[in-house]
Amino acid sequence: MDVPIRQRGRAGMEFLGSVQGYAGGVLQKRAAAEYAAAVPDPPTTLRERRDSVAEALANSSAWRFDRLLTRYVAEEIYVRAIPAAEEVRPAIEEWLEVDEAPGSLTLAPDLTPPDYWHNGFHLTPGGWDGHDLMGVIMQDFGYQYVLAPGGVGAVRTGENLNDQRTLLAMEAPRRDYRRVLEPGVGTGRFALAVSKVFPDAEFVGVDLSAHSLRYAHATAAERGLNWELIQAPAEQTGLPDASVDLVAAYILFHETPPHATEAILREMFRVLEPGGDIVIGDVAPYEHQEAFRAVVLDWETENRGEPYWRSALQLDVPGLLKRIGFVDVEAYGVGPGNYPWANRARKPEQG
Amino acid sequence: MSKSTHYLDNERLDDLARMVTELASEVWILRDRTMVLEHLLAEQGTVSQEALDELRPTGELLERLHAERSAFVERVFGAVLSQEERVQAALSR
Repeated sequence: MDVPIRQRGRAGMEFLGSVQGYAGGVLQKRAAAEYAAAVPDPPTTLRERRDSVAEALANSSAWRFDRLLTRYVAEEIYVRAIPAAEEVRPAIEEWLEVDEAPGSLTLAPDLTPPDYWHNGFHLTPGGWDGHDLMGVIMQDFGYQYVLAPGGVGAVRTGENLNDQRTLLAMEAPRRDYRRVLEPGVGTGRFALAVSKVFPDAEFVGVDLSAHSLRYAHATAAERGLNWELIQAPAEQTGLPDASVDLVAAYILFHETPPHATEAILREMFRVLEPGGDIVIGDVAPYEHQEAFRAVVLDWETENRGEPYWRSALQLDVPGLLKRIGFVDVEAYGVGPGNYPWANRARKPEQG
Repeated sequence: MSKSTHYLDNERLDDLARMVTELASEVWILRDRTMVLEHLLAEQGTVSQEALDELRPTGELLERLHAERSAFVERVFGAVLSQEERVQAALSR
């Protein structure tokens, strides 16, 4: 949405984007250089890496302020975006109120979300659906003004997080899919990339968040996209067996604990037709990260509302896919610095 | 959600750094407002509060604001770097 943000809100959000950009683009690089000089042969296990960085950079102003500012910005996004959104609430509500759209939105007001949903994500006050304008707050305030220019998590300062989504969608091995499912569709950022790469395919997205789905529905209406959006757990989509021929997921599985990741992948196996493909994009496992980078990423677990990040980045996703029954399993880095990291597999024709 | 730990030597030091950051933000918001005000006056010869609040910078003004903001943030938060690095940063602005 093109939010009619007012001067104070705009300038305050842009300031956060610049602070995040400076922390990630200057202070963190300075800290990385200090660590490389202090520890030329870093350890390989996560615990040793954390201890090593903490010890080597204990007195590094660049490191300590990079972390402080990154945490501050992550909190402050909502402190600033919520009042800025409230200031223009009528315009946002009008945009969210979709009368006609080529697709559909099916909400489930009585849905009981899984327990992990309540652990809080990304420091959102009240949780993912903690505010009725949260879709706009995250997408048009947080991403547009702060995370896109400043970087977030595995997306380094200066990288384009929308290009990375398109790159991942293009890792699906075919271009002639009939019906694509995205579990964890959220506000539809990856769905836009999927619709761009597969313009003739039907698209169905499921998510737990009603507010994110309302945002995605309004986006689809604005762009004339025929998206079928359903509020449902990705572990239990309610879709028929063998009803899609591509499952595409982006940065979903670092938000889910391992038992939920397995349940979701088993559901994806069920709804895929024989011969159908699955492509998953997320952050590369720690074993494919350099020591300092691994510690920076791991920090998100306790400090930026990513409760399942550590378990996700140590999970053997290819092994899990094979155990479920997928074949032709591949795992590899797609973009610079191994981000996004792709897991790609196929449901066998028979079995 | 409140902050879960401290990032500098203790929580009070964190609080002070947060206050300084907030103050820097207020300075920037005012500076942005002044630049938008000057832009509107130069373009139209007059300005209303609504026009000032509703203007969405584009083109040359957007670029100028971005450059000024980047330099401002670099000066404020780059104060933690060494003198040599600050000289280099100042020369490159």
